[in-house]
Amino acid sequence: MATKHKGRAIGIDLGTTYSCVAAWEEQNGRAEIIVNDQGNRTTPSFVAFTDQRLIGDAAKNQAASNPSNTIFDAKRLIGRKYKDPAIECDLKLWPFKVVSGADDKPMIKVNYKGKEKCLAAEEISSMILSKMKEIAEAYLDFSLKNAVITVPAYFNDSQRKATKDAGVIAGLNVMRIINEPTAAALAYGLQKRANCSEKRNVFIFDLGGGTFDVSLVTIEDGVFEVKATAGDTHLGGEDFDNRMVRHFVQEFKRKNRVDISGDPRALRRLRNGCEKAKRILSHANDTTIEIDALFQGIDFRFSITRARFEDLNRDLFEKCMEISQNCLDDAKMEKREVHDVVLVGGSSRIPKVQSLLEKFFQRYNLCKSINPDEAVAYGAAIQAAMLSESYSIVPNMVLVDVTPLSLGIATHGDLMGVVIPRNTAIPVKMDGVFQTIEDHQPTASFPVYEGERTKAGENNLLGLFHLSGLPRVPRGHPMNVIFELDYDGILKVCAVDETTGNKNGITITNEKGRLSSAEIKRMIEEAAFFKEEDKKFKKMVKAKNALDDYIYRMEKAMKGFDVSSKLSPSEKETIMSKFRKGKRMLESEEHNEAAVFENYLKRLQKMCQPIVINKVRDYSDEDTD
Amino acid sequence: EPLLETSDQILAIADVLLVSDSTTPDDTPQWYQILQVDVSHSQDLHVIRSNYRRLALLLHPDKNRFPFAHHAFALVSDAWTVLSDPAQKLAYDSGLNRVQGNVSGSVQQEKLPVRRGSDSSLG
Repeated sequence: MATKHKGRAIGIDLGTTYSCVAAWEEQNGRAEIIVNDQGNRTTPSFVAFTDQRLIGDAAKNQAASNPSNTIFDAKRLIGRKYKDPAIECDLKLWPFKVVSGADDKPMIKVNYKGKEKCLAAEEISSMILSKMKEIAEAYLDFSLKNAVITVPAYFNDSQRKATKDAGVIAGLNVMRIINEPTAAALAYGLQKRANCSEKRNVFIFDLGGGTFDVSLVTIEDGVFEVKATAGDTHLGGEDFDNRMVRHFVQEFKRKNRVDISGDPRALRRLRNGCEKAKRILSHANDTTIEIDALFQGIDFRFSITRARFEDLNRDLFEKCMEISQNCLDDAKMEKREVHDVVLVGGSSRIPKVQSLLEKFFQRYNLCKSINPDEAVAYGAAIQAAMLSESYSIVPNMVLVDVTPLSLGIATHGDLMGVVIPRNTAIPVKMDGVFQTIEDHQPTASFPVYEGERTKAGENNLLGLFHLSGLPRVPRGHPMNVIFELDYDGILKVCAVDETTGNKNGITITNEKGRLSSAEIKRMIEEAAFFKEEDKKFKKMVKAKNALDDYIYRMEKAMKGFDVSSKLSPSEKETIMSKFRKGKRMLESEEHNEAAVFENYLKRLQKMCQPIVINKVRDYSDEDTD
Repeated sequence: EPLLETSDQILAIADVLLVSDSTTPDDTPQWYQILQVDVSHSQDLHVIRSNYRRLALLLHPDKNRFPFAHHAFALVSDAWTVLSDPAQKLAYDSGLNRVQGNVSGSVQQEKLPVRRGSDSSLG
């Protein structure tokens, strides 16, 4: 894209479990991680629904008491089908309800203000993105629109586009979607290799909360060239937690003969305990998880050693090493040619992962000097600054990324005919010649797929188009198919019959399973609705507090001095009864509109003012603001 | 120097596009010329790499806002893809050395059959 974006821009790392936001600081020549309203540098990717909507820390903190309406892991659902085998296991573990919607799209069922609502993963992600936007706006003190959002390098086309949609719903102008390990490489290059001009091959090992990515990046003189990338979009800290949870559910069953697997609240509490234990095991050799009255009043108390934890996840750790080897193979690089191994993502702190990696590379100097939780957002902020015209001082660097998955056309017998192989630098334009399989075939269809399977049907279908008006000739008539991939990974495919000049093609933008523009519009409206509701809720809480406060102070005032000179006992009783009614109103859940409380407060003030005007003026003055 | 960089950016686009426009007898792409590598240095990977880097920094559309930067960068990127890969470079070099034969493009795929349009088992 040759257009620069107006206005300042932020970089958002939208993670499976935690998200992080950063902005480029021109005057310091570096990006700044922005702290949230709780003072934390990362924000849990949680959204909860009660009689209000909570996002981030507030949502995670109440997860145990409201498990079925606390949504997390939306990144595992985004851009996938309900039937996707990758999420089959998750569906059983999640305490919230996911159902299959139109086009087999997974929809999350929540109860908001007593009403059932179905939300798409894009909507949950958009809520998290809008929270990150708010955090940045509060810190930078101006309103923002432009953002660079990161995705796992191994995300496919539909997952990327769904993430972009989430940004649009959140009211962001998504300047670009970049890969997480690539963003981490930018951060590493700027922070650690800024004044190094010789060539370095950097291996980025990014093991996060839900996804695993590795990339081999060559850095030289400010040119960041991704050589190869590989990964697994469903491998991360959450999976390690799941293994622990499953293990303890069984242990608990064996010891107490009760099964907690049907109790979402108990599972949530156990999961929180496991996540904490996992972190402790990164520095301690063993730890004990204690949860009082986990299930039917039975206390939970089990210890776990680091060795046991490693054993539970052995195959997952080994998978990481296999994927690392694949990435090196694709880059045609030997282990010894790698100069730096950079650890990114919270789960890269696990000692076993580090020791396996040390063994794999036969070296003991893994780079831990960049913050694994923040590097991705940092890199995204650098890219955001490069794409925005509001910054005059930006690092002189360019990024050349690759496509993680092969792109091609399904040919006869459902074979995948690859046109752009994986790990090709983007942007790119490549062509392949395909031919008809029957005599006098009038039209040919071109189903466009991405993926590595030989059987096209097992890959991800991106779209389908036809080329008609073929000449009546025997089979084997050639047609040229051109694939064009731009910086955002948007694919254009067209087919040309060179004998007749006939041409047809598609831009893969809005395909099945993806949100239509009408749906996006509806979701934007709904996001506005949620925002309005949040505002209303805040207003109501404020009004309730004001009324409560007034009644409390007036009651005290009535007791504290002699009002008999101004009030007859019956008048006093009327006022006191009004106070009691006010208290009942505050306690009942009946009213949820701010106006009800505001009006009642006004009535009380009017009633009391002439009587106690001298004595408690200062009180009532405060209240009427 | 912002001014100098601007003119360098425009000149780089012009240089690359001029090379790609000039025709060769057999339509072989001129990858060395696009990367501004003299033929005498065609085996010097260091020269090829540093020229690629210089051009990438000048032409990458994230930095170069002029029209056709996109196109020029794509050409540079293609040239680098071929010349940085030993196998592809060898194939390209031997194609250059061969006397004007009927050499086809460097990465042409073999012909693959396409499914019929009426096939109902699609997607």
